Order: sequence, then C-alpha cells, then structure tokens
Amino acid sequence: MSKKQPIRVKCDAAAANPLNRRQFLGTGMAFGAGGLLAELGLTRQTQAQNATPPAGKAPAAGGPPPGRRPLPPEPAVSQAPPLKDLKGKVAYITAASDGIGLGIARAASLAGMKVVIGYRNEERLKAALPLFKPGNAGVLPIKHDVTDRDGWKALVEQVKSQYGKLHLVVNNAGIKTLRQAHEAKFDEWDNAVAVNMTAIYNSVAACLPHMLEHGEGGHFVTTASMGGLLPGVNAGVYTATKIAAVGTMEALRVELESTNIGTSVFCPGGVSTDNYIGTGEQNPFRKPLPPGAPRFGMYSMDPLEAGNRVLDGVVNNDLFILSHPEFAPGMQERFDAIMDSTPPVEAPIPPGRIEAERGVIRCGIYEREIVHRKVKRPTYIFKA
Amino acid sequence: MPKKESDQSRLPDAALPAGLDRFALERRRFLAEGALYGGGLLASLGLSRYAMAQPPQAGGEGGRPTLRPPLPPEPKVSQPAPLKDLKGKVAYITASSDGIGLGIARAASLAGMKVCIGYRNEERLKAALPLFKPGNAGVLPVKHDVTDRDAWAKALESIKSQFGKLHLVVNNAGFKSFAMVSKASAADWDNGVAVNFTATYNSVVTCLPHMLEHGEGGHFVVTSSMSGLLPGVTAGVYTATKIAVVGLIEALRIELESTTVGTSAFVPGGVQTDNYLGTGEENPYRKEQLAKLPPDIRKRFAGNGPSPLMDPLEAGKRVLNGVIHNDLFIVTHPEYMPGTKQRFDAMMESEPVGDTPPSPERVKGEARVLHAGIYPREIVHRKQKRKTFLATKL
Repeated sequence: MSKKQPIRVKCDAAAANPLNRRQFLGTGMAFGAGGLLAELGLTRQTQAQNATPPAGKAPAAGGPPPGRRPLPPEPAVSQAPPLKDLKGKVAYITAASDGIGLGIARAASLAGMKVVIGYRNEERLKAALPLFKPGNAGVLPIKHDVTDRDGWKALVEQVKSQYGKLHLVVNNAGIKTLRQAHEAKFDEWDNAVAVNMTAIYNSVAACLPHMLEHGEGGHFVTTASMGGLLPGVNAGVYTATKIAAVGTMEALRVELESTNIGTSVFCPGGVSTDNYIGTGEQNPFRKPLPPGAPRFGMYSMDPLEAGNRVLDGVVNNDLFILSHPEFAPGMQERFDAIMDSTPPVEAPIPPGRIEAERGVIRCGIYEREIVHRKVKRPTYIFKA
Repeated sequence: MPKKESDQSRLPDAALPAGLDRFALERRRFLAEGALYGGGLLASLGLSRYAMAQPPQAGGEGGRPTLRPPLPPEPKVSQPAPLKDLKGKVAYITASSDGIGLGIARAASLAGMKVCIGYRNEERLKAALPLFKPGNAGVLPVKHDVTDRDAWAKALESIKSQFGKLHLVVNNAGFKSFAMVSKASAADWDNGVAVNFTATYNSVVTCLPHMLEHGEGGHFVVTSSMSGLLPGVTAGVYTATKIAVVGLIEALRIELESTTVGTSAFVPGGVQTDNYLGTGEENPYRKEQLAKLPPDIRKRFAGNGPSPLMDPLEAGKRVLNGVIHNDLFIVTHPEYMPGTKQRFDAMMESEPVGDTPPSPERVKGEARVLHAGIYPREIVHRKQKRKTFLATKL
C-alpha cells in the first residue's frame, strides 16, 4: 500500500489513474465529512439538503438528468423500537415446542407476554407445556405448518379471537438440511427454501396488515443462523437459505423503517437444542445420551438465554441479533474477501453512471444501525 | 477467549473514553486480535490457514476425548481456475438474447467459445443474432425457461448433441420484480425465488455431473446484482433473492473447491440494459422498444445521449476475466463498495463482544463452522497482481 498518495480520492472523470482499493474504501466509508459518499452528496446530511433543490437552476452538465426526482429524505436515526414494553403483548413463535423456539417462548412468557406456540409434533408440545410457569399471562398452542399460506391466515384469526391482537412474530421454524447444495434432491431444496426463506414472506403477508391496523407496534424476528452470515459449514442448502433469510429481513427493514413495525434477524451459533443433542435443559422429551456419545452440545448456549437475547434485540429493535462473538473473526474474513474483490478503477467512471446509481449506491439503514449500536446498554440479555 | 482478556476488558464504565461504551471498546479489541491471520483467536484454536495445513494431532482436542473426526486438511491456496483457456470451450448463458446476458454471450463468442443462447422471446433473439461476428466458433439458440427442471435436462442434451460438452454455465436469467416483500403478491415472491435463486440450484444439479464426467473443467457463474451485496432499494423481493444467490455460490465454492468446477458470483451495478432503457448499444430491438415509450418518459432517457452506464459487452468481458481467474466475487462497479462496507460494519458492530465470554468448550464444539477457509484463500488470491480486470485476449 502506497503511503505517498493523498488519502482524498475523487471518484469521477478526474480519477483516471488506478485507485488503491483500500484507499478507495477507506475514504469512501468515512462517515460525515470527506469520503466518496459525502463527495457524491450521499451522506445523511447532504441528502437532507438536496431534498429541495434550488428552483430555476438548470442542471449542470453531467448532473442529474432532467425529470429525475430527488431522493426522498431519510430519517436521522435508526427506527425506534416499536415494542419497548413487552408486558401484556402477544407473541407468536413458530416451531416453539422445542429447541431455540421453546427458549424464546419461555423467555417471552417470563417477560409477561401472551405466548402462542406453533408446533407440529404433539409429543414435543406435551413435554414443553409444563415448562411454562403457573400464573403466566397465557399460553396458546396452535398446530401450524409455516409453508401453508391458508394456515397463516387461519392462525391470525385464531390469535385475534383469543387475544385480540398480535404484536410479535418469531419465524423460528427451520429445516436443518445438512446437505450439499449440488447433491440435494429437488424436494430437499424446495422444502428448505419454503421453510427457511418463503415462510418469512408468508408470515409478513398474513400478519403485517393486522399489525399496521391495530397500531400498537409490531415486530418480526427470524431465527436464521450464524450460517446466514458465515457459510462455514459444508451444507449449502442450509447456509444458502439462511443467508437468504438474513437478506429478506434486511430488505424488510428498508421497507418498514418508516412504520411502527420492527425487524430483526437472529443469527445464533451453538445452542443446546435437539440438533446438538444438548442435555442442558429440563425437557423430558429430550432423551438422555447413550454412554460414550459425543457431548459437544452440552456446553452450548442455553435456549432460555438465547430467548432472552432475542427479546433484548426486540426491545432495542436491533437489525442483527448476534449472540456468539466467537464467530466475529470468521465473519470479518468473509467481509474482507468481498471487499478485496473490489476492482481498481481502470477507466474513469462516468459521473452520469454514479448519478444514475445514487439511489442504490448506499443504504442508510446500515449507517443508522452502526450509530444505534454505539448507544450504551447495560447488557445484551433481556431482564423482565 | 482467554480468561486474561476478558478480565482486562471489564473496565469500569467511568474509565472509558467519552462516547464509547464498554462493548464497543471490547468489540474492537476482540476483532483486532481475533481477526489477525497469524496470531489471534482462530490461530489459538488451530483454525488459521497455517495451523490447518499441519497434520492432525492424535488424542483429541485439548486432552478431552472426542469421537469427532479431526477437521479435514484444507488447501493452502484458493482453487485454481478450471477454465483458464476459453478457446473452443462451450458456454451456456441463460437469458442471453438481450441485456447483460447478450453482453456475456458476445464476449464469450469473441473469446472463441461456442455459445449457447438461452432465450424465451423470439423477437429479441432475432435482433441479437446478427451481433455475433461471422466466423464465430458456433452459436446455438436454446429456448428455455430456467424454472423448468425437465427443460434443463433437455437443454443439456441438445447442447451435448450439438457441441459434445458443456464447460461454462452462466445463470443470467433474472426476475427484476420491484415488489416490496411486505406488499408482494404470492406470485411475485414465488417467481422471484424460482428465477433468481432456485434456477441456479437447478442448473447445478443438472449440469454438474456432466462437467465432472468430461473432466475438462467447468465453471458456474451467477449474475446477481450489487443488490446481492447491498440491499439499497425498497424492492425486497429482488434484493432478498439476489442476496440468496450470492450465498448459494459461496456455499457451492466450499462444496466444489476440491473439484475441477469453479464458481463465481457476478454482482454488477448499472449496465445498459432494457431495465435502464439504455441507448448505447446497436441493438435494433432496444431502439424499437424505446420508440414505443410515451414521449415524456422517452425524453428522460433518449435526450441524454449515450447511456453513462456500463456497456454490456464490457460487463461480459469482466465476467470472463473472473472466470479465467476463478474469482469468487466478480465486482465490476467499485462505487458500490463503500456502501457495502457499511453493511458489513453494521453486522460486525452487532456482535455482543464482552457481554458473556463463551466457554472454550463451546468454541471448540463450533470449530467446524467458526470460519470458512475459502475467504482467507480468496484474500490471498486477490492480492496477486493482474494486468487488467477485462478479458483482453479476445
């Protein structure tokens, strides 16, 4: 890396010489003054100023084409949490009769929420119900296949008739297809896409209109996985659909930021669930391990702790609810590999191209999320 | 995390610099030390590139008996490019009768490849065919809906019967639905997923066995979008499915790294295509479509002279450059990358570092998924000099 070059680099016709990649990124990512985004008038501050262009001024050569609408003004801070107070609110958690879902449901119940438990297996449900404390605000099990769109509509009606409203939807159902993508059978692929990705769309299509209507605030959470940020496991069907789930939730944040519906994606690492043959929880459904079996799951995170971390993310409206910091270095490697794929600018970028791309060249939710994350909080575990 | 580290991290809040909370500080320290490729967390777990290359130690991890097999040895460098020489090879580009697909097909033809053109619209195909130079190695139009799995098998058979082999598959067909996830109809969503995401899976399960069989090397490319790295627009169906397919290509790289089949995700920004109603290319179909637009809309695009967006042929040459280098990510528009960096930074800032340090046992249990070796290898691969990012030997 050359240290002689000036840090400030203009990304226009004048910058014909090849740019140092890291310099380009280094200056571009600077928030506030300097940097590519600021120079293009694309930071929050400049956007607010540009929202009302001075009247009567002819566009300069290479400026915005005539008839192009100015970008809409953006909020200055990240979306305020729609569900700050969970007490008395209604949560629906899909696949909550065991595993992480049960942990989230128990945490929600302990937080004073009315909890709707989605399940498919009666036996698991029977084992799970005694784990909810007597005197809870309400527990309602509903048998529900998340890939069934009519089932979603019926579910919303049933929740409304029982509790009146629905505030929090946790898309927790997932298929852990530990299959390589190039070897997966058609139905394995289609099932994984339907449960891990399309079910999110189904939940939004069914529940969002009701949430917007009652106006008390709502929140969508999806249980993805660390595999949704770092495809380290050699199981392409799982990681690809989990990455898809993360992207879907980010897209929803962009869309719903101006409403009172929050969005979060939960990306846990190891949690003591069935998948890991964990032994940490007092669930009779979980069978004891045979002697000599690998016990690597017993040290993983307790599902109830995972649930409390999810609720902390909900009351803070965190876009990404991460719970396992040991994955950070691996994530950083992935992001660095993508950033290092940035090609040098071999020929000048026409200013008109950047102008045409101005609406998509950055996404304000991330800038705001970084600021949001710098706000102090005493813990990442929800305490009722 | 070592115990000493976490003890040091528990500074009283009053001792912290103004505006920086305990978690933010610890997060930085953790990343600075953990992300180092030499020392750091991964190395201490035996998960760095160097440690992985060492033969596995007998006797389990850390003295604790384990029934898990040791981690498999990893390659030291990124997968060598299976298709270094394109001349005479066979490429199938889906949806290449117009737009970026046509640019890739033309670039491939200029590179001496036999080109199979996937299309659905006869009119577009008719306008596209004259753009291929006389004396090309071969052009075969294939009418094909990428969501139809039986049609994939048929397309492969017709390509094999015409050209014998298939080497390069470019999953270029895309469904540019501007529907929001929160407002999309079920059909919008299902089509977006089927065309932008599942079609790539369809191509792999259909064509991979043939590619592995002929043994001359193969390559899968997906035309995603910068939206696959940075979901900037309120067009959730598009961005979600484009992000998904980038993830699928990364997963496929992990799976196919040890074979002779390469993988690349192409993430272009603005290219002169139908979508942008560009006027820069000598395609009569495009001109005809533009003439049909209402005058006030046409004026917005037509009055500005040639489109400032990237020429599809240049985009195609950049894709081929990515293929002959086996780049995992083919990035062509650097102006998006600062915004992408913000997205990744937001994810990194979300790690609750310093909240409750994970137990060493937990971290060991996660050893297989803590990092993916393809990324450090890709970083090393990207540091190698290359003259240009365009395929020039055409």
